[in-house]
Amino acid sequence: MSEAATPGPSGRGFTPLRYDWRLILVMGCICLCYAAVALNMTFLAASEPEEPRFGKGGTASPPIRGEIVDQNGVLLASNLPAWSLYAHPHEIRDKVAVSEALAEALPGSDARKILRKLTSNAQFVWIKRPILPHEKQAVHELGQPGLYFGNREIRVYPAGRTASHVVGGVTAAREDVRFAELAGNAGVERHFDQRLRDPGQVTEPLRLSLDVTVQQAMRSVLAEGMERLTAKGASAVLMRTNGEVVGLVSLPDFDPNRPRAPFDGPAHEHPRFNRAAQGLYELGSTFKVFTAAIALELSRIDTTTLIDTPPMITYGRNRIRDAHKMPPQMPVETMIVKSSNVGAARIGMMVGTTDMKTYLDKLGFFEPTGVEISEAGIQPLLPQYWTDLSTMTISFGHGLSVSPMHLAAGYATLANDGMRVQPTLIAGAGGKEIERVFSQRTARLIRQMMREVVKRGTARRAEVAGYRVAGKTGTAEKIRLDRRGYDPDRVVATFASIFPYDRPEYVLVVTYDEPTDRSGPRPERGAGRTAAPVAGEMIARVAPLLGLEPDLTPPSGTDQTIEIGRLQ
Amino acid sequence: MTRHAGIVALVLIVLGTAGWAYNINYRTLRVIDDVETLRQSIVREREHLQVMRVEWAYLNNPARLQRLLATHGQELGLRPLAPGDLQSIESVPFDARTPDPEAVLFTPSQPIPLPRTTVPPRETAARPEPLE
Repeated sequence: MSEAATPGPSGRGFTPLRYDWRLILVMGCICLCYAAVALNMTFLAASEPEEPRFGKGGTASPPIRGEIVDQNGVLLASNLPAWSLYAHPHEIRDKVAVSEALAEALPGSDARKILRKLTSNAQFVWIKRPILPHEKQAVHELGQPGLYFGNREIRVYPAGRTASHVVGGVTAAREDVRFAELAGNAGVERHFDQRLRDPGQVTEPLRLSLDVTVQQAMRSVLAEGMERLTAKGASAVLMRTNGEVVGLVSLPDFDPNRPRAPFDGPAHEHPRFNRAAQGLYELGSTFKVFTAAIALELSRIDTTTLIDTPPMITYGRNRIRDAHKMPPQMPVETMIVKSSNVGAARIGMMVGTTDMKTYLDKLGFFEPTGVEISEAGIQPLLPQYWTDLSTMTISFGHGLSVSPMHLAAGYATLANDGMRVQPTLIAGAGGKEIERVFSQRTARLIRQMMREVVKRGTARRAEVAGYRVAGKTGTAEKIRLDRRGYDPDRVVATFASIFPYDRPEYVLVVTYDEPTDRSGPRPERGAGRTAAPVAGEMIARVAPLLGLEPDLTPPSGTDQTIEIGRLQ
Repeated sequence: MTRHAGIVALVLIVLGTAGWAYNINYRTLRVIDDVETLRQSIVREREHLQVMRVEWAYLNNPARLQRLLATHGQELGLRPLAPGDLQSIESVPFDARTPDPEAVLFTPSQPIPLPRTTVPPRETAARPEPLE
């Protein structure tokens, strides 16, 4: 009894067993909790990451790159699911047999090249990319190990060559087994690269102001003309007066669905060279209307003012003369209708260098056009030192090199009653006014003069019944290959037009590089025989497609038989 | 006795709930699987749709149509639209033999002189019979 009653250190009853039991319980609980946490952590660390299977949101992966459509929603650029074929060479046993079988399954590939890839030391080699569904199937049927497919979307251009120079193309920027990143390398694809890649806008197609049907009609007329005229190249720009480009063709062109072909000519003859937006040419007499417009606007001349046009004028060592015999004096309208260089130079002198520069700058001839294709960023070629002689030559379109797109924009200003608008390739973006360059009166006077050019001047072959074309031809001799003077046998022939002239809706610029019309007794190179007839043909083809109603009111009398649709 | 009944009821409830939970769990998993399959088939269908859209655009490409026209245009009597193909509605000769006012889309303010047209004498070219 005495032992049990022994007081503990604290002086109370000593019961060690009970305390131990409680402590062990608490410790055990804490240990269990820690064990649970540790177990969960191990589980989380060891498990494979997995997509939540039942989330909300998208069911398909978004396209890699936004689509491009024309103004009517016709696809110009889109994406297709495809695959790329790669191999792990160390997993393949009979490399010779596999490479031969692959060459057979993939048309256009070389067995020796594949074998070289398979026998290399690499752990991973691309065999072919991209491959099409039937090629994938053929490879599947080989049943060989070591061959793998990577998902890949490819960019396709259903319109092919028709809009090649506008749309441009893409190249693979970064490439992996699971994905490929595409980057635009020309045209709209390059200019809007960020917009087309932006995940926020990728499902929204980029709508251009182009009309594929019109574009194709223009291309086929231009190509026929190019063949007939044995020209080296050609371009055509069709612009609404609000600045929207409806058609833009440059020949030769290329198939954007095929990879770049090697080409060893000069850069400006490459099929990918966009003559309409990128090519800079001295556009010749088409500039005379601007000279006349500036002079009229500044009241330096009036429609009745007679301008002295001697056969030749000299400035220092330089002589300016006309191609044909001209009357000794003429009003400005005759200067334009007969396309007198001397007359234009004299009007240019009346305007003066400062005002000439101011107005050409206002018309946008000193800066890129701002059309949304990467090639259009080109700066026009101005004379290095702008002398009075430069003013005289530029008055008739020599000494200043601009692109046909610049010219179209300049004519759009005249068509717009003198208001300059921003040319654009985006549907609905037209009508952005930049500044007023000419008064309404000046623009109308000039359009009437241009109408006379088609009625009785150099561009009679551009007349289209019902569409009242107004325009101006321009034939500029190219600089000789040895750079000494101009070559009369190599010209750039241009026809710039506005139609219908009294209520302008469209501007069309057609340019041929080194055309020759051999249908007559002598080869003809002038724009009146080359570019103008093609432009007329083009307007006749395109205007009904654009929904323009022809004005077929007979000019005199009412007794007329109208041919109505003949039935077959 | 009452205490035993309570325990039995509790056990039954637990068993029932367990069965229900088991059942609902597997049904959910099955539904998730179904949804997954459906989604995959939607993705596949979308892919097919995309292929067909591109194919449609390719088949309707004006350049291709023009190539077809070069081979079949002759026999089908097709040619490009020309400015002369567009005419004003006034120039359409309405047939005086169709008195049905609803067949005439508009009432001209003045009588329209019928243009002198020559209708080919072939049977196929004859005007359709006026509607009753």
